[in-house]
This record gives sequence, structure tokens and C-alpha cells, in this order.
Amino acid sequence: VSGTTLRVARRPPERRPRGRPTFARADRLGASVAILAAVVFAVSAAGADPRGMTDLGLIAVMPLPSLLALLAVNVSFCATLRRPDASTLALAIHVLTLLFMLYGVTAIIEDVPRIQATYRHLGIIEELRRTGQIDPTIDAYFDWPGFFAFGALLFSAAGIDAGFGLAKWASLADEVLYLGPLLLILRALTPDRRHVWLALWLVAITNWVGQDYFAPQSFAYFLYLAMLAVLLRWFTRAEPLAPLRLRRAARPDGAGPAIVPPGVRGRVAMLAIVIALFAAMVPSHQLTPYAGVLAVAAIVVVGLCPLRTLPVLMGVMVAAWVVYMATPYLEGHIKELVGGVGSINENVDASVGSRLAGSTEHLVVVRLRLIATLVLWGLAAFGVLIRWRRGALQPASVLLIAAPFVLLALQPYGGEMLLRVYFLSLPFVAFHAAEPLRADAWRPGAWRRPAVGLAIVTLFSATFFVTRYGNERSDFITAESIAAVEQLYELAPPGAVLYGDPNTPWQFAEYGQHQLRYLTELDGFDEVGTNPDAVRTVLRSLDADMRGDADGHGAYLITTRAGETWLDLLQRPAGRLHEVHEAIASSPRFERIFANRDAAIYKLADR
Amino acid sequence: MTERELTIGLRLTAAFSAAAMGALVAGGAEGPVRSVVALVFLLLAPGLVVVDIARPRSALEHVVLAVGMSFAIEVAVALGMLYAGVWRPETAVLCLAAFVLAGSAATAIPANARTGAAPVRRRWLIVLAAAGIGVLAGIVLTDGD
Repeated sequence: VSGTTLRVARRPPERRPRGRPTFARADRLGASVAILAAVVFAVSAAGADPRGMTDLGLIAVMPLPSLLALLAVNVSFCATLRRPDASTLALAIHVLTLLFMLYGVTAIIEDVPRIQATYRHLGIIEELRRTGQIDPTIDAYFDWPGFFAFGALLFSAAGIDAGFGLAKWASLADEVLYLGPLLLILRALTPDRRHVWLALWLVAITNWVGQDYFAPQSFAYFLYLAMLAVLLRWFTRAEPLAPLRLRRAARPDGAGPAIVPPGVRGRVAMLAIVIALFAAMVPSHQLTPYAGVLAVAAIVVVGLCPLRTLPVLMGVMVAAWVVYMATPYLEGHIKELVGGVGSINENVDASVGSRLAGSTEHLVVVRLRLIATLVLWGLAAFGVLIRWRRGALQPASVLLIAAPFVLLALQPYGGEMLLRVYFLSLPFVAFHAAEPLRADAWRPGAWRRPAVGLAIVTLFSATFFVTRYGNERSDFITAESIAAVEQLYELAPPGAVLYGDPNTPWQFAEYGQHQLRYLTELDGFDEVGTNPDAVRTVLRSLDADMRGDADGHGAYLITTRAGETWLDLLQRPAGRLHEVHEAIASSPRFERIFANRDAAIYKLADR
Repeated sequence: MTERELTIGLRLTAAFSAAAMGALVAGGAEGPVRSVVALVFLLLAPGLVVVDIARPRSALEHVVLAVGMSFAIEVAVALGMLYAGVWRPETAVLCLAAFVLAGSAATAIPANARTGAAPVRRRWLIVLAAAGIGVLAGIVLTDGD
């Protein structure tokens, strides 16, 4: 070991012997603890009452036994990882258990799928199945319909009607699907298997951005990861950068050149697979293909990947789709698309500054997210430094962290761009964040490094229920809300105008057959809570608008608990939408035609 | 299980899910069995047939590439039908099932005894011919749906 504190001994690659895998007694013990923890977690969490959530989110109702089970699986994982010969099956059981706890928890606690957008996505699939056509004029989703077309085929093949059950478990299913490409990516970056599993663990406990629900981006993310896995494993040189020089060094940690499939046929086939994966990504999501082009261009430009024409081809594919297939969107949104180019400060502020608002508890959640992100990025920066000092820095892994950040210079993406950048760079950030924890130096008998590792993963795991599910009070959808929306669709004929709150779980049926209008956009709403006359103004405006619409196919109004909690979580003063709902309920202008404890439906009263 | 055993298991899963999917769709079956079979089939089977030509080395590589290629194939098939205005999902599923069965049969053709190389051209001719028959069978079986 050299004199500097950062320089560490070069270590030989750690590989398990080939042949039939073994499952030692310690592996069996670890796996048993993990499975038992999963059972305790599920049984305990099933008794939680989601209606008791505060603005801190899910953590407010999580039972103590569930949290202890999460701690147990972290301890068991770290204990298993201390053994250099730990079975892959035992490690995999731990990771699957962790995913079940972190990403299956809402499906255990809640009755119907969470997140209002899920219902919109299900509605688009229903629309495609019902009409058998893509109408690009409905909205932007129909300009990038790949995911929905796939969903329509899947639902039809499986004989699924609404798809609520599938959507409810989508986050867990997506996270399990991501494991495969993540493993391939991490194995392409290092032969140290314990580093790979620790990085995988870090990905699971730090993925708080919640982009893995039933949505196009979660589908495109799998394709993004699979594409990068093929490129890193088969087409990217893994020679590390020596400190301060771009010369090629020896293979300090055994990371050799990428595996190239034998013969021309193998390479052509792998390249065809990369193009096919990207071709599926292009019509499926607006943003991910751009991240794909940037990522591939980054490793090609610096000469790590020999496929020089690939990013050009990918760029042409994206441009061709936008110009020829997404023309209606392009025509209507060209200013929005190019308006944010170069405005990095504004785009970052839209992702961070504008989110620092809402209730006191919600501000705690937002700040904890920022801290968790900075700690993870700090660990990763430290990891980059360690590998650089050791001469083992893999340029591809750093470039693939940096590439998505270019997106911040292009678009605010509705204030979500930083979240997407975090999500896209996470596997490579986690790879470097695992470096300072030095899983390769964990040994039975040695406790200091494993204890530090355990402390860090436990901290991330414990805060996960706040960082990821901090908005759960508004993301939580009740079965009663869904029943009310179903009733609304029975009452309202096609063409009727529907009024409602933001965050209403509607559009899962009759998509595109109704105009939607929101109470928060009515005259006077901005002054509710500060101006005593504002509620009357809102009601007058609502009455006039609904009477205007009644000349056509009619107008209906739905008020929901989900709308109130959403607005109270994010905006001050609290209770504004509740005040308007109360005024509507007691107003003679509107007649209530349906109600349950979470929603009510109104139409105009006869005069 | 060894890598080889896992890979063989994957191929068998793909073949059996294709056969079951074809039978369930052609027979008009409904219910949870069809849902489970459809999920396994569409997640894995069409892509597995295609990725064999790239010779992935491990079961994990097989699975990841198979799932990715299955998604790619199904997005292309579904978008093709929707843009063409010929939305017939059951026909598409039957065609895919026939394609997978033909591909699975072709994979079972033994390698060249002298060179050890797989008879790729012969395999893919069989796959394409069977896929063509599958498309026709799918259209005939679901005609009028």
C-alpha cells in the first residue's frame, strides 16, 4: 500500500470458481433470514392504514416490525457479503427480498394502483384496444405510443380488461426486470462480484425518484439499460485512465477488454440487437431516446466504442420519428421544445427550487431527498477519486454518469429533468458510490469496514420510505375514488365536459371522449384562502362555464379527496380546495348525484 | 443449476409457453392461466428465438437480451397493426407463437459433426418458412374476429 490514504492496494479480480454453484450453510442461513424478513414485512405492512398518512408520506404508517424486517435484511446482506465465497443465489435472494420490501410495499398496503397518471396510461391502452387506431391529434401520448401499443397487445393476449392488478405491481416488476441489465452493466465495469452486488444494493435503496411505475419511461428505461449493457459488455474497451494522462494503463483490477462475441456474425447480431432495442425506445418515450443518443455518443467520441456511426444512426432515428410521426406535437409545442435550450439555471431551478414548497412536513421530505442525493453523489465522487488515484478509473462509467446531465441544458421537462437525470445516471453513480465501502476488503472477523457499509446502507434504506414515498399521501388512490370515477363515466355521455380537481384518477376509460377542466384553473381560485370573496367568484365562474357546456353534451363535476391532499401537500395556504368543495356541496347551484367518503359527483341544479 | 441447464430451461419455457399460448388463444380460453402464460410468453419467448443467433454466453445474457428483443418485436408488431388500421392482437399472438415454435424446433437441429458449427442458414430458413405458415394459420384461425 502506498503512502497516500486514497491509494489502495491493487487487488486481483474476485471470481467464483466455475462449475455447479454451491450453497453453503451460511448461504442457507442468510437466505432464510431474508425470506423470513420478507414474510414479517408483508404480514406487518398489510395491517397498515394508508388513510393515516401525514405529509411525511408512507413512513407515518409503516409498522415497526416492517422496519425491523428491513433492518434485518440489510444486516443479513452485509453478513453474506463479508464472505468472499458467498453464493450468488443467496445474494440474489437478498436483493429480491429488498426489492419486494421497497417496491412492493404500496401494493401490499393499498387497494388499487397508486399515482393518478397510472390511470391515464391504462386509459390510453383501453383506447387503443377499443378503436384499433392511433389518433395523434388526441394528445402527445399518441405521438409516442410504443409503450401503450405494447400494453394493448399484452392486455389482449392475457385477456386482461382494466389492468389495475398489473399496474399495482408494476414498480416491483420493473425493478426485478432492471436487475438483469444492471448486473450485466456492473459486471462489465468490474470483475469484483462483491462490488457488483453492493452497487446493485445501492441502486435499490437510492432509487427514490419513482419513475418505475406503470409508465412509458419505466419501459424505455429497461431498453436503455439493456442497450448500454450490450454496448459495455461487447463493444466498449474497459482500459482505465491513468492519473492525469489519457494513456492506457495495465489492467489494475483485472477489468479486461470487453467480451466480444466470436466472429463477424456475433458482432453483427449484437449490433442489430442494440439497434432493435433503440428502435423500440424511440416511439415509446419522448426523453429516453435522447439520453440514449448522448450516452452512446459519449463513449464513441472518446474512442471507447468503435461503433462510430451508431450515434449518428440513432440521432437520425429520433429525428425521423419526431418529424414524420410526431408532427402534431411538434407543430403545437415547438416553442416549448426549444425555449429551454441553454437555460441551465432555469431548468435546474424548475427541478429543485420550485419543489421547495408546500407543507412543513413536505419540506422535510424535499430536503431529505436533496441530502440523500448529495450524500450518494458525494460517495460516488469519492469513489471516482479512489479509482482515479489507483489508475483503475473506467472512463465509460464516468461518461455515462455525465451524459444525462447534458439534458439539463436542453429542457426543464416540466420541472422533472433533474429527477430523470438522477434516474438515468443512477447505475453508474451507484457503481462508484460502492467503491469507498470497499466490499472486497470485507472479511469474516473484520468488522470496521462492514460496519461502515452496514451503517450507510441502513441509513439509505431507512430514509427510503421518506424520500421515495414522501408524496404518498397524494399518490395514494382509494378504491372509493375509482368507484366514483366509474360512476362518472356511466353518468356522462361521450362528449360531455368533465370538471374536477388536479390529481383526479380519471381517464382510465373513454379517453379522449371528454374535455377535462380543472377547478384550480377557474377565475378566483388563486385568491382562495386569502380573499373571502374568492370562493364565491370560483362558484360563479364554475356555474357559468358548466351552463355554457350544458348546451352540448352536458357538464359534470367530480370532487375528490386525492385533489385536496395533493394541493395541500404542494401549495400554501392549506385547505383551499377543501373550502371550494364545501362551498359547492352547500350551494343551490349544484346538485349532488353521487357521493362516497372520498368523492362526490355534481351536475347543475335545475333553475 | 449450471449455465447450460439454465439456458436449456429457458428454451423449454419459451417453447412450452408458445404452445400453451397458441392453444389458449385459438381455443378462446379466458382466466388467470391465460394471463400468466401470456406474460411469460410475451416477456421472453419471441426474443429468445432471435437472440440465439448472437450466441450469448450465459443464462443471464440470454434472459436480458430475450426480454429486450421481445419488447422490441412486440412494439413493432403492435405499432404496425395500429398504424395500418388492422388491429388483430389474437392473430398477432398466434403468429408469434408459431414463430417461437418454429425457432425452438430449429434450435434443436444438431451442430455440424465435423466443424461443430451450428447450421445457421438451414435453421433460419426453417424458422422463416414456419413463421410464414404461422402467419397464415393465425389469420385463418382468427378470421372474422
